Amino acid sequence: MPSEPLLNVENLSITFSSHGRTTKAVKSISFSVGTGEVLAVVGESGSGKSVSALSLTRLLPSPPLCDIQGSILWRGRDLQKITEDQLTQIRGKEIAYIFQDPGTSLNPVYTIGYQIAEAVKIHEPTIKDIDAVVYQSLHDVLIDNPHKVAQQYPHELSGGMQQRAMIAMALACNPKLLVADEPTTALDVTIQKEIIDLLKRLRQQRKMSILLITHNFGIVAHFADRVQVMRQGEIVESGETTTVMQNPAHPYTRGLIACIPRLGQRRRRLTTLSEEIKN
Amino acid sequence: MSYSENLLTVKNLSVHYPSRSGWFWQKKEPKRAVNDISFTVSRGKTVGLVGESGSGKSTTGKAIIKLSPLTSGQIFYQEKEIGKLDGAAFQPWRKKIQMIFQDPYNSLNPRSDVLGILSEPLEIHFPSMTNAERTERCVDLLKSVKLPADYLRRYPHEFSGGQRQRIGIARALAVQPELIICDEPVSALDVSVQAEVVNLLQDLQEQLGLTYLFIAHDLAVVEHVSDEILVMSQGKIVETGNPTSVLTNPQHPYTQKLLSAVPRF
Ligand SMILES: Nc1ncnc2c1ncn2[C@@H]1O[C@H](COP(=O)(O)OP(=O)(O)OP(=O)(O)O)[C@@H](O)[C@H]1O
Ligand SMILES: Nc1ncnc2c1ncn2[C@@H]1O[C@H](COP(=O)(O)OP(=O)(O)OP(=O)(O)O)[C@@H](O)[C@H]1O
Ligand SMILES: [Mg+2]
Ligand SMILES: [Mg+2]
Repeated sequence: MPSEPLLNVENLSITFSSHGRTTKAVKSISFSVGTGEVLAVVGESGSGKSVSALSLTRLLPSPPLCDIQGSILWRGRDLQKITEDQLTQIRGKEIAYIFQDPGTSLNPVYTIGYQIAEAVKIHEPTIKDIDAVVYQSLHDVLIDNPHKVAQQYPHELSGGMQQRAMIAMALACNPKLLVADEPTTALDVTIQKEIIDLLKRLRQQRKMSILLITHNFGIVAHFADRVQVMRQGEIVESGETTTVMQNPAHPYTRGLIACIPRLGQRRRRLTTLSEEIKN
Repeated sequence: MSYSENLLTVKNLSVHYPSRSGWFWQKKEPKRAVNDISFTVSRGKTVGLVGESGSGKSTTGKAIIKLSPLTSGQIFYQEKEIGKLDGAAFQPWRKKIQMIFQDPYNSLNPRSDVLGILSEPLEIHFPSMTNAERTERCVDLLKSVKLPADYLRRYPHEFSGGQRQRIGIARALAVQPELIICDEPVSALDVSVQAEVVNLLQDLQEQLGLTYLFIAHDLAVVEHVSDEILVMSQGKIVETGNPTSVLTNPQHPYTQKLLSAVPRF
């Protein structure tokens, strides 16, 4: 039985215009995410994965730089039609982001602890021992020395520690939908696995839905209920994860899966896509 | 016994970041990011560097080009010790050694278009190039990382994550370096573009004899490109060897844990 859609996006198109150039980044795509569901988005670099996620809560430049068409139904309300004030109630609270770019969410002039505390306060304004919550959230993402790291600035953390700090911030908001854009690219596989396990637990406990953008098919296979494949602003294939991974219908999906490098398979060159499949 | 030339030799390198946090009467413990590590990279070869998040991989890479503080130890480029050279004296090695940074967002100047970003190192290291030659070189660089020529006039914020990462790669290739420190160079790329970029790096290695220190978390990619692997944990190198033996028969508990966590499907 399909779960009730929490998010329902229809005919979403995103066009950028600047310096007299227009880029059609997303071309009329439709998708939905159910309560407690994990939807993975994979596909070509530059195919519109990040911008379609950012458009959900108006995180893209405003018109005329960027034009967004289509409807974005969030729990029955069209986010395209509500006011900025109403949207602030949703952004970061009901829908939280782990951004692909750490610079978008980590402010260089504040400590990590301060930034997580701010995120916690949005969700629970009356909380007393906020430091304890901050340390716990850093501990949850396997930061070894939470007290020390809370006092550090983003540039003093390694790539993977910054990424985990962002994950901690997003989770502190206790969102209904977590948009995770390449959340584990800077993590070694042991920590990556534990972070995915953490997300799996939270999804169970909190019925949190996850829109997971990733290039990592291993994570998709182990975590996502459904997957959609994007190329050049379009969704070329979507379906249950096992079906898409085991019986990919579209040549692009098949080609992409063939390009995955695997351990123990030393070849002179990695497999690439033919020009024909790419277009 | 092989007679290949050691291009880079790192001897007993330690990097401690001075502590800033805490009040002045508190004892300030520096962050010991890298602790007494030694390794060599032979010309024309690739050494893969893997390990725990926060174990000191980026710090090691940055120490080689003086972007992190060398607390003790020595760094040799061929026979020459470069670890203690100051700014001006280090200049010739800035061209020979390039770095592809882990964070493609903060490493590109937001106020410069791609032409500007790629031209800057060319202006410094190839001052006799004409404007037309420079532009032509920039177009070729973009093509080599699978981006269209008309992206030259775009600014960093107009790119996707993987597109920015490729601009960082193009910039590192621009000045025809001998050694490239690649810090997670393909982590933001889909597997097909990743394969093309990895193949490009290998082609350049075969054609021009480039040498790479290749930092990455994707063990399959590291296995594919590396002639030798170093595994780091908590500021130390805990295991080294040829990729197949390290990855099929890991000795150190951290390496064993790492391999058991690789998602299989
Ligand atoms: N602010 C912007 N102005 C103009 N074009 C943009 C802007 N942001 C993104 N684009 C373009 O829109 C397209 C889609 O970008 P998006 O960031 O969504 O890609 P992506 O699928 O997330 O790719 P990646 O996997 O590389 O992160 C790209 O071609 C990009 O160059
Ligand atoms: N500028 C700095 N000031 C203080 N500490 C720092 C600084 N840069 C890095 N560190 C610390 O040094 C340690 C090693 O960081 P480094 O960035 O080298 O790790 P890494 O192995 O590259 O990790 P990742 O895989 O997560 O990128 C970390 O504990 C980090 O917090
Ligand atoms: Mg993206
Ligand atoms: Mg790093």
